[in-house]
Amino acid sequence: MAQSSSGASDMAQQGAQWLQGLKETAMSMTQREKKDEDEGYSPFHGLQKSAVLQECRCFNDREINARRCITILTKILWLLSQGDKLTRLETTEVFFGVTKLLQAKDQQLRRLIYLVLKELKPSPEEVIIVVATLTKDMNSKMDLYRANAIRVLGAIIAATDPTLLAQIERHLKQALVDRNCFVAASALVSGIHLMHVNGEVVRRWVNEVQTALQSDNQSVQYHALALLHQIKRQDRLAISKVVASLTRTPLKSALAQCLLIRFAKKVMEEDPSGETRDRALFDYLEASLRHKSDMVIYEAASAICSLTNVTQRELSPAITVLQLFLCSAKPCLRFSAVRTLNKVAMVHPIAVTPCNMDMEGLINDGNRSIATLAITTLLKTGSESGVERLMKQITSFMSEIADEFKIVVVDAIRAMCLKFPQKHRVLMTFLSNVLREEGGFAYKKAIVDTILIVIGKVPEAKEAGLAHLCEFIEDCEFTLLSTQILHLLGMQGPSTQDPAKYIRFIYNRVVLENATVRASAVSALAKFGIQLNYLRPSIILLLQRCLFDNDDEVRDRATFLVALLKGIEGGGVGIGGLNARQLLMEPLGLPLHAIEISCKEYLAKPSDVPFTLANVTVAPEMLQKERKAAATKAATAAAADNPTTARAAPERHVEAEADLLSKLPQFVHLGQRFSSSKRAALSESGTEYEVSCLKHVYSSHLLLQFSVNNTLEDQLLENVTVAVDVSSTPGLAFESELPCSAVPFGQPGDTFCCLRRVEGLPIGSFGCTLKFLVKDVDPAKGMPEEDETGYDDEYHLEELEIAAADFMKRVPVVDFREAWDTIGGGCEVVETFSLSYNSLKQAMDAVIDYLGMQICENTGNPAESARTHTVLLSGVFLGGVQVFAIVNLRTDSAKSVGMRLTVRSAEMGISQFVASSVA
Amino acid sequence: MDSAGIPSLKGLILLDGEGKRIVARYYASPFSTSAEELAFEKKLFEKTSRTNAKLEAEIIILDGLITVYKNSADVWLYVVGSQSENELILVNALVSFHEALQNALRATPDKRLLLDNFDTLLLAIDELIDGGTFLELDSDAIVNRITMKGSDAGSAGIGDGSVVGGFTEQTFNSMFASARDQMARALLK
Repeated sequence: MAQSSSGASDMAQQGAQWLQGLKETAMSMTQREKKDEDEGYSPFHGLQKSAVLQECRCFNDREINARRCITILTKILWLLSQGDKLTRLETTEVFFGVTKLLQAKDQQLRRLIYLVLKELKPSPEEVIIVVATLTKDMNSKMDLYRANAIRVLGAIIAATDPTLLAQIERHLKQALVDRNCFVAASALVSGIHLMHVNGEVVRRWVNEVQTALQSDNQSVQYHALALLHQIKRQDRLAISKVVASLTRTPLKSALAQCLLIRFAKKVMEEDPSGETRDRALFDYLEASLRHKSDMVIYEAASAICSLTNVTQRELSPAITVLQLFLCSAKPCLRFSAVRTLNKVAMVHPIAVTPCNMDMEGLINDGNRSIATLAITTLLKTGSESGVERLMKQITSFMSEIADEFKIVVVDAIRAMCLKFPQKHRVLMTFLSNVLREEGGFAYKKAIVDTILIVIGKVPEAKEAGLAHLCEFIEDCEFTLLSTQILHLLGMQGPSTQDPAKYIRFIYNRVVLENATVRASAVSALAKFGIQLNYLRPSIILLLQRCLFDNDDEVRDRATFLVALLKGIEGGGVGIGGLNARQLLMEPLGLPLHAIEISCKEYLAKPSDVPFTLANVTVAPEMLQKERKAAATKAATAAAADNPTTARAAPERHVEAEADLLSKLPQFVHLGQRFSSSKRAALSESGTEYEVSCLKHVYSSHLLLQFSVNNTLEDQLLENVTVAVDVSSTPGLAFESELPCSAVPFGQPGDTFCCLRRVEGLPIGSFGCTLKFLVKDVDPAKGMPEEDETGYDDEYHLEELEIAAADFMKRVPVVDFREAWDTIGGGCEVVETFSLSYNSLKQAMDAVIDYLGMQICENTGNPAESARTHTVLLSGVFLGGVQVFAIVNLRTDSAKSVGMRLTVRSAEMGISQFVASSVA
Repeated sequence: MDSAGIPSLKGLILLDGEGKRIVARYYASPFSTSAEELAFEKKLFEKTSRTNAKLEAEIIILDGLITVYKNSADVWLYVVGSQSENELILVNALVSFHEALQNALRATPDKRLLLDNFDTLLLAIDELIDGGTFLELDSDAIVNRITMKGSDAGSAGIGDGSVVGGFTEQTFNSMFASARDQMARALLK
């Protein structure tokens, strides 16, 4: 009883204490609220750097006041966090002060000192002073001291002097397997940072790290996995072993599991066997989709979605999980799901369609990022029938979002236009509506670009699109867009049904706009004049009004164009060997710089013969420069995430570059290029010297362009040539070669070999040898020594083959049957073959490759299960003879395909030659 | 991929109710000057300050960076990562950070409280992140380490009685403190 009463009084006392505390809290809260009213309150208000540095002097006091020092250190950290910088001298001063404080025993102060030491970034000379103290702390009995000392030392060493690591390596190595998890985690994290500066030492810890990986503690396990991967990252085999063994035993830490998923994915992607996917690893990813932590589920789902060549079936469990995320109450989950689905939709729109219902709900999501991603995903996955409904929803949505989101939406609409060309009317109306609304330059440009692309790809949309654009330039504040549109009107307008209606829009620009727009309007007008005879007189009249423009460029253009148009009226020719149409409507095939040089040369030595572009020559260096420029252009196009232009650009460029070859002074006599082969590799990639060859065919010559890439960092190749042994190939004779003066590491160069066709159509293969002068290079400097003379060396290449296909140009015909009948069976050759291929498709691809002809009327896609298939081919043979072929294929057995080849052309010899080329 | 794909963040930012910086840390900074950093923070605040991120963390893509954020009284907490980062890891870090501050300060973090305990705030960041990678995402472990009470995480303090003791006492203290705060608030109303 007594006991219980004392218990009760105890309780009462405690209750009273508690109430007292409650009162105090309430009081302090009212006080605080009062202070809050006094806005802009801050303990650091009006803090001056100099004043704080003054205060730092108390660090030197004999009796250290821990509380006061903490306040001062906090003030220093505040200044640093607000972007104030300490000078070198000030840093040194503070740093020495802080080192004095290390004698103090106060724990809170000590913790703050650790932080300040990391923030101050002391110089290497100063660091030495603290290393000893910190090393002592690393062996202290206090786990917290040890862990923090390790982190500070790790950070300081990584930032200043990596060689110091050797001094403390022993302690760190021990700490890795310390039974305190904070100490071990600190050592592991420091190891990750030190790996970048002194990898050699860290690699020696691999056994300790392996042990740490077995730890029960989540953080330790996670950091150990990260460090182990860093240590072994060069060794693909070791990594895949580690990953394989870890995926069998579940990891405790969610972060570690995320990391393991990343590693597993990397192993799968880098698997050299390539084709077949590692089932065990994929199963691991799939199992991770059922983890209890969101971040692991999402990591696994996005890993699966971004696998290369992922199939619909592999995707479906990941999509199901993401679909659940879409309905989550947490915005971040919805965002992550819709972001990943958006990416998947680019490659596998069908896999994402089950989520469309949920996605439509997200269009009105409070978070605009989510809404935009949902819209763009829907635009990619939506079916043709849903377009109208979707556009209606978007229209209301567009006014609410920022410009950068609008651009994303416009980009998605562009993709949709190309996917459903029939829907161009709805989409074009939408685009013209948004074009009229307010918006910045980038947004307007995105819309105009989209309309331009759609006009280019969907012919039916042209008239409407041009009309929208005409309306837009009436009231356009962006010069760049106006000029772009005017140029397009000039190119496209004349071929529309009623070209005259555009003249008014264009001429209005001449009257109302600034000089740049006026100039491009003048050019656009001239393009109408050149193409349309009946408009020419009126256009000349309009242009004559511009002859007195107050801007030089406009005046110059008008004068030039009036002269040109009048020239056509008078039946005159153009300038420099080009007629008026070529001058204005087609791109110049030559670099401007080359024309400029040729012009200068001509002016220095004028002759009676007029200057023509045909005489312009190009120096090899200029070729290199052009290629670089094109490469950067392609790279920017790719960066702008514009797949259509990015893909087309390099192809177009290869053609343009090949045309320039005959402009090289050495090869001017070759004449017009007939065709060029695909690039053929003459050495395996990854060998010392990577060589590939392009064959260019001219009327009586064969120009071999060898691209040489030197993969050895310590060598410089000079005077590089490829010796071609043509003795075994009758009909070919070596004529000349153009060596490449130098091929440094990593910068491919071109060397040329010119062969003359003496007679007939030489086919066969011949040996090639790379010949060069090697100079040793110090990789650090990248240049050979001055007195280095080098030595001659050779490198054997694979044989180069010249086949019938090299003399054939892929040229399509519009109506194959008609062309086939017109040419008649006079020079027809029929041959039958039995080919050993596993499938119809393989056989077809091979035959087309042998013939080097163009597939006509879309006959290049046999049905998967088809047992017979007919391919129609056309091409132009060297000398301009049209050739047609019909290939009938039939699967005979599992391993062989029967083929009947029928070739027709105007010359029997050519028909026979082509037909025999398959054999 | 940087650092062989170890989960990482680009920055951790705390802004007050007017968009002024309380503290900002950038790791392998995507910005070259502090002026650019401030411009980013300003833009971030403009875009986010009108949204509701009190209960659940919100998310935004800005300048090619993914930012998750949370609103706590009159301060805004942001965790910034690259576009290739798993945003849910960033959210996890953000939530742990907020929890750690709440427990260490024994109240909902607001501007005044954070400025008065600026050292605690910086230490919390230091215990959460080490050079751009996540050191510890367990808020209890972070709190223990800031207050120099114990070094182990609650979930892993096996066989170390004192540490477990420290941990439980810590939780009790913070529990009582927040209960007291709540009641005091109720009384004041």
